[in-house]
Parts: sequence; C-alpha cells; structure tokens
Amino acid sequence: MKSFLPLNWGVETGSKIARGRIWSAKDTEGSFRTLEIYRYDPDTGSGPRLDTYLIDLSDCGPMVLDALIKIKNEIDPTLTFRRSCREGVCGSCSMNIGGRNWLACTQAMDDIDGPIRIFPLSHMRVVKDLVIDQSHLFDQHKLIQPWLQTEGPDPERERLQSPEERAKLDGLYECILCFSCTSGCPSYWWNGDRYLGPAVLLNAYRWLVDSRDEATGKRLDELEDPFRLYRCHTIMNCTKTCPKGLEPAKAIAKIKAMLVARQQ
Amino acid sequence: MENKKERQHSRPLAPDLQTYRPTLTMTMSIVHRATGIVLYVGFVGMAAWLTTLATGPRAYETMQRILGSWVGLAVLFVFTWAILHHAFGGIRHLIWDLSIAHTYPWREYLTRATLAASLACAVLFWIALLWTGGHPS
Amino acid sequence: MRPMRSGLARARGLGSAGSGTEAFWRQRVTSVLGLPLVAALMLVFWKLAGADYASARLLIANPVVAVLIAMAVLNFAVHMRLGARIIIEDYVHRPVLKAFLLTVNTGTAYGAAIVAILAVTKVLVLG
Repeated sequence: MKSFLPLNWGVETGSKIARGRIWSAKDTEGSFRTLEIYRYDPDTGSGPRLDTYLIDLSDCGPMVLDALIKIKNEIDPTLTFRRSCREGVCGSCSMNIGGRNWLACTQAMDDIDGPIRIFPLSHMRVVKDLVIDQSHLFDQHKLIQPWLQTEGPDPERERLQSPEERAKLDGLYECILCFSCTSGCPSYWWNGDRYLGPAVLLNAYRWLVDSRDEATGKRLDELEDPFRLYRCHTIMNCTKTCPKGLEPAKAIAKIKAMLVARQQ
Repeated sequence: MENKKERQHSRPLAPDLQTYRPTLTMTMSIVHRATGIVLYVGFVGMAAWLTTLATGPRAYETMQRILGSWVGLAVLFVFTWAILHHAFGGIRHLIWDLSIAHTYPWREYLTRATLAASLACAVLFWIALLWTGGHPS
Repeated sequence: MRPMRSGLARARGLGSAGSGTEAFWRQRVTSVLGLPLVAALMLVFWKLAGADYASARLLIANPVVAVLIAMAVLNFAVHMRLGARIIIEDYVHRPVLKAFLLTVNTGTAYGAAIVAILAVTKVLVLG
C-alpha cells in the first residue's frame, strides 16, 4: 500500500511541499533509479520542495544510503543528511523511505518499487533537508533517567546478575535510538509534546527490568501518567517499523502490566 | 535575514499521514476507534429504543417502522458489524496486552483474523435473522 | 519573546500525574465482561427482530433478559465513557473545550444508561 493522501492535504502553510527541480543523470548507459527527496533550505526564504534525482545503479552500492552519498558526491553537494556507521548500528540515518521509517544504510533499493520517495522522519521539525530536530526526543529520553540508580555504597567488585536476569535485557539494550518507531506512532504525532513515545518507553522498560537497578518504584511513578505512558493504544506501527527488530509495543504492554501488578 | 533563533521557530513539519505507508495494523486501529464511536451513538439509540418500548405501542411502532425501512436496515447491519468488529478488535488488543503475538507474522494473522471474523459473523448473524424471519419465542 | 524554558523542563511538563492505571484496568475489565454480555445482547436483538409491541414487551419483561440488559447497559456505559474520554484527550488540546467535551461525555454516557435502565425497569415491573 502506498501513501494515500495528496502531499499537501491538511498541511500547515510553512510545511507545504512544492515541486522541486529534476536532476537528470550524466550519462544514459546502465539501469537507473529515480529518487524523490524532500529538500528544505533554512537559509532561503522558501518552503520545502521535492527534488527528483536519477541515479546510475551500475556505479552505486545497493542501499539507499549509498544512493544518497552518491548524489552528494557527484550530483548535488547541498543534499544534507545524518549518517555514520553505514551498517545499521548507530541510528543516524533513520528517515522515511518508501513510506515507512527505516535506516537508509540497511534499506535495499531493490526492495522498493517505483520511484524511491525519501522524507525526513514523520511529523518532526526539519532543520535542513533530511535532518530533523531531535532535541525534544532526547529530552524525553533524559526524563526517564536512563542510568543505573542504586542506594548505598558501591560494591567491592562488579554488581552481580544471573544469566536469567541478564536475559531479560535482550531485545531492549539493542535500541540504537534511531527514533523510527516514535516518529511512526500516530499517538506521538498528535501528542508528542507529552507522550514519551515507544523508543523512550522501551528504554524506560530496559531500566525497569534491570535486576541491578534499585529505583523501580520511582521509575514507575514517573511513567504512570495518562499522557506519558497511556497515550499508547497499541497501534503497532512501532514494532512493525523497528529496523533492529525490537518490540517497543511489547515493552509498553509489560510496563502497563507492572503498573497493574503493583496495584493488585 | 532572520537570526538563528527565529529560524528555529519557523521550521517546517515533516509530513506524516500524507506520506506514511498505511499498515494493516494502523488501519484496523483507526477502524476500531471509528466502530467505538458508532457504538457510542448506537448505545444512545438503544436507550431511545427501550424508551419507546416503555412508553407505549404508538411510540414503539413508529420506531419499528423507521428501523424496518431500507435505510434503517442498512444502519442496523452496519451497527451489528460495528459491534462484532469492535468486539473482535477488543480481543486482539487484550491478546496484545498479554504480550502475545507481537512479532511477525502472528501480529498480521491476528489482525487479519479480526477483520475476517467480524465480516463473517455479521453476515452469518443477518442470514440467521432473515432465515428465522425474526420470530421471538 | 520566544520561550526560554529548557527542553528538559518542557518535556517534564507538570510532572507525572501518578494516575491512569485505574482507567486502563477498568477499560480491560469492562471489555472482558462485555464479551459475554454483548453475545447475550446480540441474542436479544435477534429475538426482537420484527417483533410486535406485545412480544417485545413480553421478552424484555422476562427477569433474566431485563437483568442481562441492565448489566450490559451499566458495563458499556462505563466502557464507552472511558473510550470517548481517550478520544477527546487524544484530539482536543484546548483546555476549556476539552473540559467541556469530557463533561458532555460523562453526562451522555451515564444519562443514556440511566434512561435505558429505568425503561427496562418500567417494562419489568409493569409487564
């Protein structure tokens, strides 16, 4: 299923996307892919636009990030995007590709039909081109206090944890904070100022379930809020879109279960 | 030329519904909400129906005539499908609350099963209704 | 003047309300209880289809049917009030409008429930 609304339907004036320029390919040999990429330059007075690029695939790696780097190197050096590890572990290159949020470095171009439409992460404030303002997301992450909290003196040696206790962290510690899930959550779109979102809640659960942590009650108190946690209506976009295969919806369901358990 | 801080507040918003590829789960979620709203209205309608029954034969018969019209029957069919879809959707949400069937493909199977079950049961209910001619015991 | 409050302070807002679990649990309880109740209601609807006034009153005056309807009405009034509250909180962000709609919601849900239960009681008592 493709995106289903015209691009500017119901969009606020400053965010409407105009038609951009078409950057045609240099030579006409080999197979081509068309990329339609969201562009926004804060230094000009104009709004966002959608530019079209034609890429010669014979001289390009298979991933969307390879195409973006090729465009920046050879066609348009002003194209701006975050990237680092190019192997799906840093979380920098998360963006909306072909209608879903994923990492550009692990999204194969062959898996997308037709023109590859690339937008910044959904419903986020855009700094430039594909770079979004992540400050609120990281403030929300700070809010859940993502560090070990203990009372009393530090032990002589390491804090002990059995293999079973350690296993509980599997599927949680691997989060790379790419925020694909949070920016794909309709509840976060409408209430992102107060709802923490799946990424932050999964990370909160990671600390709730860490046997070495001693502040479980306080953490649950902080989360128990109609907006911080309970805006989750199990829409499931988060688990579906996680590029690392994690399950934020399940973590959130488990937090809700913990909150019910401590009342009964 | 605006300064940097002023520029921050005129940052555009990246598109959401306009570009996000609709998923089956998110579509079923909004349908669950829509059926909930339909059922809210239906609840008030049911209260009205019970009132006409308690009031007297003339009020009741007027209500039955409206419900028996083509529009009324269509509304009733949609209402029964809405009840069933919301009930099956509710079961799906309860299963997810128990942390079951979050992964692919079970998540998709469960979602498809909700839709299939609600449509099948709605049709079966109405076939049974029309078959028995609706004679109360 | 643009706001100068820090991002963390804005994210923290007014702090955690410390509530929400009660509503969440009540919604789940009314869902689970609602499943057999809705099945019973569907059965009652089936029997009521095309019924004339006398047969309908006879059916509703049956104590088992009347009790089931009353239980269903109470259960779903609570469930739908909570559901509508969630929808209003999701989409309405202006405080006065939100408070007004939440009040209308409570009034409608419980008002309709009271009307329904009284109507059933009248039929049950008078036959």
